Amino acid sequence: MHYSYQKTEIMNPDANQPVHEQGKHHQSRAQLDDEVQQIKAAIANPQAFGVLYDKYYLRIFRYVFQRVEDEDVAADVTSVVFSKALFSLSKYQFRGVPFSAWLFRVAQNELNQLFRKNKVQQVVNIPLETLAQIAEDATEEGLEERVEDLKKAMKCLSEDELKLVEQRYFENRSYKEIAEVLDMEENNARVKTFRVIQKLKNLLTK
Amino acid sequence: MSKIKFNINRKNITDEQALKHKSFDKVMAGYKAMNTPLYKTFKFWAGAGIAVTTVVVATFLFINKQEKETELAVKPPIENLDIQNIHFSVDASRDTVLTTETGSQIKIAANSFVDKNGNPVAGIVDIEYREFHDVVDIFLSGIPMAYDSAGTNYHFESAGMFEIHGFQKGKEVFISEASPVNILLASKQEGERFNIYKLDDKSGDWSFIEKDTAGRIGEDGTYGEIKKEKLLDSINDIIVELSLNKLAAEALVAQLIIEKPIQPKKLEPLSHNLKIEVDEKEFPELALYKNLLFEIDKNDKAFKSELSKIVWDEASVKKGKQQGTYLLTFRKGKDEYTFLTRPVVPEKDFPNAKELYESMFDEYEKTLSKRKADEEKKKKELEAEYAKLMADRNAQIAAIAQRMATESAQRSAANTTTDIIYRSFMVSSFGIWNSDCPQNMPKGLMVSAKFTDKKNNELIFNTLYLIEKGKNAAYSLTNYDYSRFQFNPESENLLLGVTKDNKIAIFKPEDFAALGKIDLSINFKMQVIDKPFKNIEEVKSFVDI
Repeated sequence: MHYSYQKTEIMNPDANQPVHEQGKHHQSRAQLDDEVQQIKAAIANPQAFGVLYDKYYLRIFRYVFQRVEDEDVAADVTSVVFSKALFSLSKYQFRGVPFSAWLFRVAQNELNQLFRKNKVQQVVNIPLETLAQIAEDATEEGLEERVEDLKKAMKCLSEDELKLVEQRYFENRSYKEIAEVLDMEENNARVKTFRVIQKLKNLLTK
Repeated sequence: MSKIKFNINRKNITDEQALKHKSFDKVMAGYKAMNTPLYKTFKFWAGAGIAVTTVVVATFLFINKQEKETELAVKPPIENLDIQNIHFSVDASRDTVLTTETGSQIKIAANSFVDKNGNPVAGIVDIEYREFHDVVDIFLSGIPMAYDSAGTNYHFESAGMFEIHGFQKGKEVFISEASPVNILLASKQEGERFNIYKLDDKSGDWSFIEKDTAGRIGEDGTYGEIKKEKLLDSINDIIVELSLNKLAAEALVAQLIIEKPIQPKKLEPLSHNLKIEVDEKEFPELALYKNLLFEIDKNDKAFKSELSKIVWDEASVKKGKQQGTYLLTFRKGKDEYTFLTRPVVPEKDFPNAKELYESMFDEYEKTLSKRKADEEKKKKELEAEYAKLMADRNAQIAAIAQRMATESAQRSAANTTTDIIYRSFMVSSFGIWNSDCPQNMPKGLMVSAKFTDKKNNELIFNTLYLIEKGKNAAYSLTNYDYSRFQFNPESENLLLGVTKDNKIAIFKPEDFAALGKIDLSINFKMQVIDKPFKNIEEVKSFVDI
């Protein structure tokens, strides 16, 4: 049986997946130099931070939105993240960690604080197709009927383990990016993610 | 984890929706609020307004609440063993220089004080002042030494702290914005790695004020800033340079990456399959195959044959997690379906596709080899560059060490000034100030810890610090779950705490040494001091660090 579909316009498959943007954001040396200048300008004059805000707003908003229930909360948290980043900008030093990764760390830390203080409902948004991919790594069985099992299994993960699954599987980040955002060695991120999947596998086969 | 909500397939937000919330003004407002001192905030004045318009009883409760909040931030762990204030009386209308026993100087210009309404204060002002220099001072003061930098937790290594307050006839006075008090704190710590911070005594949070400046007081009594060594900048430059070069190298190598070709498979008879044109630039590994089809994966239960009757508005393709799989998404109106597929070719096209694959695979392997060789070459270049930069840096360190030794010898020969370093603070408000450097918790061995006294009675702590000899930092373990913590077995470690029945307990470096081969689970048998210490000096002598 063969089906042809009309108007098969090829869309950018990542248009609504901020995380796929990550891998495409390798910057040239000139771009990095520009960014260092933009950071220096913002330290001297906070209004100049607008350039960096424009550049990273959508990525940070999506990162936050992926982890909270509604867009108004995401908007408020995103705003605080940029205010805090601007406040702490003089402490940012380029030490191999891109500015974007530092911003993601600020966002993750802000979220951690809000979750810890129960000020915001922590949400894990799972695209079904990637849930299928986790289970493909975790078990040989079919998936859709196992969604509830997987949700239960994921509730048994620690905060750090869940972060790895979120970033690797729900947001398709590379291990390098995960390592930068979560402040760990790339190899460590790889090994820990592998262990989390093993843990999920064990939980699912119980 | 039970509080986490799991959503499956939540609808993505569009750029337009996200951009509706974009407001740089809001970011700036948040930023300005972070920069505004508490007494200038609406929250503060609202609180003050309520206080003055309520009855005496309410005011009393308000004051009690304030005291309670202060108590939460700075909590001396042992009664009667807090660092004591020294008192000075100054004439507010005259320039004054106060010198403490440690050699610190407090320089107060005339008319530096105002009352709570901002009016100048004349007459005698009482100054209360105390300093904190070592880990025992920190331990006994109960000043929180954790520092939150953009949500990341650090602990301070201290080059010295002080607390200063001013009163007139028992009422608090304030420092005029126009005339900050200059304090030259005699510091026992060398180095340029310190910054100046101010404590919010209500919340216990530290605010970064500025980079620390250190200096010496010369024979003529004038303060001179120590010339900053270029070394730190140089190390930073090395790191920046190498990082940028590494990124440039990665970008170069990334250009050489090609997609691994996908081995074509024959279309299975009677299988569901879809025809869709793919973007050659986006999926070069597929573009060359003639009559390419996407076969629905057998495990994909979302696919139903009746969906074939729909004329779709849009379709998109992206790679699946498993190599060789692709996710096809079709949309019509609000309906959206995604199928897991594998690329296939009809049987008649299979021989050509196979031949093409083999040729592409050869090209892929050649490019891969070239990429590896380029990576290796770039790595060697970076290593050579790093070695050269480090050699320059080491030469610079040696030159600076030589110069410092010469200067020190000259000072000794002249027998003029001491080696005391003074850290200069421009104090714009009373409270607790420090010159500190944020440090991560020690890293090394994570142990599961049990704490007992020598008779094996379990100990519970009000405060417990890990201290590394040679580093002027007290890492609070009671900020965390202290039954698991990390320490560096290579360092000389010490545990110092106050038990829930207010007794000092210690586990000394020699106790760590006696542990021998360190297990992952340790019972720290601590020495608990039953007899109260008479004074701080006695504690310092006992701790001996």
